[in-house]
Amino acid sequence: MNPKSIRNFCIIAHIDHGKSTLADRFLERAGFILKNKGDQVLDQMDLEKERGITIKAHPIRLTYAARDGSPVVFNLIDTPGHVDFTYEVSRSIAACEGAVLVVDATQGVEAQTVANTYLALNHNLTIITAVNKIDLPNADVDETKREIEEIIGLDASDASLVSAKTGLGVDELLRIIEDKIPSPSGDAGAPLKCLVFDSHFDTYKGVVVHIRVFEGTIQKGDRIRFMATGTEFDVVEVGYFELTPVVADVLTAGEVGYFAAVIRVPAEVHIGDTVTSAARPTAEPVPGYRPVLPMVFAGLYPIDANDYDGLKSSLQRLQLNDASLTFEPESSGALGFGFRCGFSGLLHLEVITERLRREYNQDLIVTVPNVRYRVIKRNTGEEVFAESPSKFPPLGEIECIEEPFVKAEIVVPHEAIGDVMELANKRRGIYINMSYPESRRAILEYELPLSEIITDFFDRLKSITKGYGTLDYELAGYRKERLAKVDVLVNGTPVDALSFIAHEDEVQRIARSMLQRLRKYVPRQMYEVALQAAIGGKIVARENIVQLRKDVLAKCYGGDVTRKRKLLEKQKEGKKKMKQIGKVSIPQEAFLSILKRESDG
Amino acid sequence: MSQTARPVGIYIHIPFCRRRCNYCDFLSTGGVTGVPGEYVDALLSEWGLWVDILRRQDLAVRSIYVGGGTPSLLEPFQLRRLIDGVRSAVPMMPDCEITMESNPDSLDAERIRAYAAAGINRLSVGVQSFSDRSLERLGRLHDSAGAERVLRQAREAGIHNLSLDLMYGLPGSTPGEEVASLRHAIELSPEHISWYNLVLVSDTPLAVSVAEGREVMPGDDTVLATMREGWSLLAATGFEHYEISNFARPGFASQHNLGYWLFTDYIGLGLGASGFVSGRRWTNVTGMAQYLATVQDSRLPVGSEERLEGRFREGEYAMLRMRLPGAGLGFATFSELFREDAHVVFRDVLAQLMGDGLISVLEDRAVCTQKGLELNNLVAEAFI
Repeated sequence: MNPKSIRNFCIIAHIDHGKSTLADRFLERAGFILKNKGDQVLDQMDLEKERGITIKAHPIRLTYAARDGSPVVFNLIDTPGHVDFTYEVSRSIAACEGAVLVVDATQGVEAQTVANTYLALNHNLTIITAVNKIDLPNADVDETKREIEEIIGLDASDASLVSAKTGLGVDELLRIIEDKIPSPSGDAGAPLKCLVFDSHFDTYKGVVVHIRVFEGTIQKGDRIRFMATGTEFDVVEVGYFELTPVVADVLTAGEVGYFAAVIRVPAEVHIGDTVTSAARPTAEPVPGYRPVLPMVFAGLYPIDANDYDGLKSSLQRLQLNDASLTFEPESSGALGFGFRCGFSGLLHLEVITERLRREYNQDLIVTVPNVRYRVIKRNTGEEVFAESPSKFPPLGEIECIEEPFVKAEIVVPHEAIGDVMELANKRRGIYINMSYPESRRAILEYELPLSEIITDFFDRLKSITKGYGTLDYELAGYRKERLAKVDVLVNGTPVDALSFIAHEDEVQRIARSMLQRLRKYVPRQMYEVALQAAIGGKIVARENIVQLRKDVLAKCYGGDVTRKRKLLEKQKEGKKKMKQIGKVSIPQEAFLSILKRESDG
Repeated sequence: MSQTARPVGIYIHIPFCRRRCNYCDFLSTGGVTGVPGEYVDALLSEWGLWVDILRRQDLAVRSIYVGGGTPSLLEPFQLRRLIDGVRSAVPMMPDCEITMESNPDSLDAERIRAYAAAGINRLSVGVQSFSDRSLERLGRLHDSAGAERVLRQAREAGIHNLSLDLMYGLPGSTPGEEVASLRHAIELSPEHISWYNLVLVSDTPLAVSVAEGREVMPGDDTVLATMREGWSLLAATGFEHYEISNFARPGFASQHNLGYWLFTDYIGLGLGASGFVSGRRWTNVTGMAQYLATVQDSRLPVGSEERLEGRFREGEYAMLRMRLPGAGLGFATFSELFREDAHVVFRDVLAQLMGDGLISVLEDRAVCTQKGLELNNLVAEAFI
């Protein structure tokens, strides 16, 4: 295809600012008939709609008539939008030459928009601004334009005014995209160079790799190589996406599409990797590749031991479309058999557990998430990597504990610098640098323990900066810290699933708050229950739950025995869902309450 | 009536009140000054549908219980129609207990005499408390003097079986006040006292007040202390604790209410009323228009029904029996009813409950310990 007729772009917008609705209008203008009005085509998963985050991107090819009547091809690449997915967003952005920035005229510029716009600017994308929802009575176009100029620093004087809902201004916007976004450059005769920006699993084709071709061509029969991993495959199909995949003969430089190569293991395909020809490889990969490592680990246990196999197959199915999810069997004295799973971040963990609950009907207990620690053993100096506190050697054998640190880049509005620095210090951050790319915002560089990031650092940052702070981080290495493994005991029985690692200075505070939360969720039992936190044999915190002394239904209304029995059955059913630790029943919520660490800054 | 006739109880629901009490979630409409004639007609029509069924079986009525709502909103002639309607159609046991629930505010001497003449031989008076402060908080329309007056008048009208309904665990009330209230009730020498714990039910005005912090419910431990003291007081003054919330002078246990716990048959007539005949439980529809229309159409106004079988039925039976502190779960009766040995059916349950100190297993029956009564839900859950 002639690259002159191609425009590759993405839409950047805050949740609910109309990205998906606008995409629907684009699709209609390209002649696609959308079956369910109101159902947005690009967001496939319920969870995405609910959380307003796009978890899996889905590129789509739209063909219009250009000004001169010739066909022009738009490749619309969807972008995920949360800190845990910053890397994925950056790969989607790297596949584009331009971006349409959509801002809701009733809401103005929001933080997420700012972060992704900067990401796009850093990749030298041409940005087109569009003010959406201008049909609404409370739309304030002038104020919105002013915000785009002041907060983001883009010229908004010629911003498109649209209503994605009614279609107003959409045709004009399409013309502007055609006119302003550069067509891709790249030599179709050069060796193959493609960027992998996404993938999905197809039962018949194996892993379907979403690519942007920068140089060369790719077609069926080619032997290709993934440059980061060095693995090679034979291409069996190439194509592009409309509402469904369309097989093509060849994809050439500038095009966006997919290929399939009978790749059975999703983990073989890394987002950000470069695909080249095995026979005639390109010299340099597309810059910016970062291996996605699991950074956060948690145990996932079925409430009912019989659901173990079901949980396993659910995890396997999720992994097909999510190479950053890892899992291996693990067993816990308290929770039985389950899996230790690795996630790219806390949101990823939440999304996966939520999907397991909703889409796969798995009743789960999720243990306290933690990072992967490096434990150096006394005398032998042997190194042990522990993704779970239960893997820690006994206290007496530990020489020291190291934990992963990240290099964090925090972009903050200038008025919040002080508060953010205070937050970073509290979270054991090590200050590296501060710079001012422009007067309104600063970039703070810190080294921070990953364990602090995975709790609520991001939430705190957002609240301190009223949403405008952004955070990107990458692993920087291990550092020795004064850490301790804290065990939680219920009536003297250690609940291995509740063990956690904390900095020695924080142990008291965290342990106490954890026991207090636990106490709230564990119902009174027939016996007094003692909750204790201990390091080695030393008790560091304690809470008691007084015994249940009265539990009786007083009246039986007009002989309605059924109603009474059903009430008791419900109560009994609820108890069945609890985990038995010795004679003590602990509800799921107790474990979940631990997952969220306190947020007192 | 034959010698072998099976006893059956009849419950008649009167879902009307002058004003709804703010803790109440029973099916009743407030703001009503009398019972509509068409509702009484419907009750009799519904009864008519049952008569044919009952006549085919060897049954005799052992109790009639007119509950509510506020049954004392019935005009005496309406009550007479209902009782005569039941009595004229099927055999009655000679000592048939005929109870009416009442509120002190809708009773006077003349009315009580008329009710007695209509057939009432047991009057249950909803006193709830002898503390005027508490009565006001509960949204009751009477005061303690009114309650006392009604009891005196009932005696004068020749009612020899009087029951008082009294609550504890009231918002803003102290254990001292509540036990004093109970003592007050005992001093009036009723034959029967229902002394029960007020349970907060969501969506009632009281629950809203509590949620908004305008009322505070006493804690479990406080209520438990009250409960223990009350139970001791009742035992010391000659009341037999025959059901968790029910106390009676010897020979005055409520035949009708015992029927619920003993698994005997009963028919519920009226809006939302429940019944239990030959192992089938049902509850009538709860919408008035639907109730009236269905009955008018000569169909039973059943809203939902279920029939438990096997282990579930046995479990429910045991659950009910374990509310009776003295009688408990009798092993002989159980095997007569189910043709199975309760020791075998409930082997694990009995062992677990004994281990937890909730029940004692005697030679002929299993009964709750004091702890088992206080934690009766745990006992019930183990059986069902």
